[in-house]
Amino acid sequence: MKLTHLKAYARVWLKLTAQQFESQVANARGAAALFILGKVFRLGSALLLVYVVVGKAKLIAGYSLNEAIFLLMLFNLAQTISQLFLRGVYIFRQKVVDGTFDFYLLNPLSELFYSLFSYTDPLDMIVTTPYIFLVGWAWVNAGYAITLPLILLLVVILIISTIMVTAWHIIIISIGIKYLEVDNTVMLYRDLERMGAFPVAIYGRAGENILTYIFPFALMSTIPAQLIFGMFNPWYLLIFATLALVQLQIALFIWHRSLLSYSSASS
Amino acid sequence: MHKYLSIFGITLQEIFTYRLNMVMWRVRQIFVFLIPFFIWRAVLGQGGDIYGYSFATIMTYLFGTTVLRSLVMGSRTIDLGWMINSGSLTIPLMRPLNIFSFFFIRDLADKLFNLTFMFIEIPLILLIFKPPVFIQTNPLIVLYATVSILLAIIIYFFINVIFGSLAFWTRDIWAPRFLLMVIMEIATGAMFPLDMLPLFWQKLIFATPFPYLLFIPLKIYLGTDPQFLSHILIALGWVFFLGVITKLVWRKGIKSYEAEGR
Repeated sequence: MKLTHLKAYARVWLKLTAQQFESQVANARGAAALFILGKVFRLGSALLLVYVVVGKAKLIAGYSLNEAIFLLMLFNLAQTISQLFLRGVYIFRQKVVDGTFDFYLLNPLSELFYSLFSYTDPLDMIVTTPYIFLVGWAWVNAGYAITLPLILLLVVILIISTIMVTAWHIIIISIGIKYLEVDNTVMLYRDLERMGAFPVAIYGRAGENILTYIFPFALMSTIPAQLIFGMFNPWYLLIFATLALVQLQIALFIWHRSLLSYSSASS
Repeated sequence: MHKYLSIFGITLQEIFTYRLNMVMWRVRQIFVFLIPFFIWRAVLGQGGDIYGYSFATIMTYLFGTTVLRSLVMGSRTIDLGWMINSGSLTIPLMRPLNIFSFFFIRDLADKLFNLTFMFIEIPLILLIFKPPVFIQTNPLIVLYATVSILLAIIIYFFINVIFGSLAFWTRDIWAPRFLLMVIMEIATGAMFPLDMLPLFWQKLIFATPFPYLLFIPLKIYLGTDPQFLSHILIALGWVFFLGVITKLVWRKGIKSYEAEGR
């Protein structure tokens, strides 16, 4: 991809995101507040679950209450950032069913770009900042020092996990093209993702491997936490980076195959 | 009656139209059980108890909420907001139907679908995870639990109509529904038994209709709710209260319905 192409994508994305923000302001100002309240409440209830379970049991898979809270905060941040750009998946099925996807195909920019990134929710950007502070708070609370190399490694992990998350979202919308089903598939993915809010060791050896090497959910909390607790060798990140790129290639292959079966039924 | 039977049949056909969608929905219902199962196994799998719950009792509770959730919270009325916004509500409005009966029949079809699939899923869960299952043998308690479940179904129906009706006034119904979903996840007792919470939070949650959707019916079934009669009466009170609110909201909302897009 040339630099000019990248600029075009960035410009279109900014325009689409600005439009999305304008639409929210025009149509549902109160809804934005409710949405943020919902997000805060969801985090609060997850925190409550950790508190109720680990607070009484003292340890979960060898992690203390404060360490488990740090894991949850890391997961919450990674989940929000990875979803930030991928909101298009939630309305993708409708675009295929009503034929709007035809216009994506006719556009000079990639149809995949429109399918995934065209509905970035500005509210997600607003909540990201306090989530970063919450990670910082939980980090200190867990009793570990915040250092620049660790922050940089966390950013690297975040990038790798976002690539893997994107690959999975591409596979999900590919299923949408072929079988006209996205909504429950993406919600099933979300249900699985929630498993990442706890140390993956609790899911047994098979579950741990699936959540680490097939899905990116261990990368969203357990692995970065282990890195900070000194239980993970950062060189292993090279393996995960390779894995993420392989997954992305496989996802793109599936996407292109699925496009061959698109019949533009409704237009 | 015949027309409502037709709606029942058509709703089932709708569900089966997108088969992968249907399968994914059912797989999700199993996952609802999986996550808490692993969390509690990690904490209580080696023995001991927390808040008076052993691994066996917490599994019985979670298995029960998984089954009840499919029955009580399976609903087609959640489409109401979309129907208002897209204008497709006009079609049932123009037909010689009671609109509430129309939605309730659709809900019942959804519940029958869920119930049917549970007969496949329950043995699967039992086979793989072997959670202890408690079968209530006291017919009187079974009767009370059935009444409590029926009330829960009606309460959930009214809650859905009220929240769906918000679309009469706002385009964005996703945000309030998202908030409702998040609140219900914890306040119904789906995540963990509500009696694990500090007393203040229990009192706060019991001032809402949500515990009467899953927590109370299940406690009655398990025979561990000493105040089951007063809880059934409170649930009945919620049915009447939410019924009145539903009618008021609907009557006001329908006046501002513009059938956009039709």
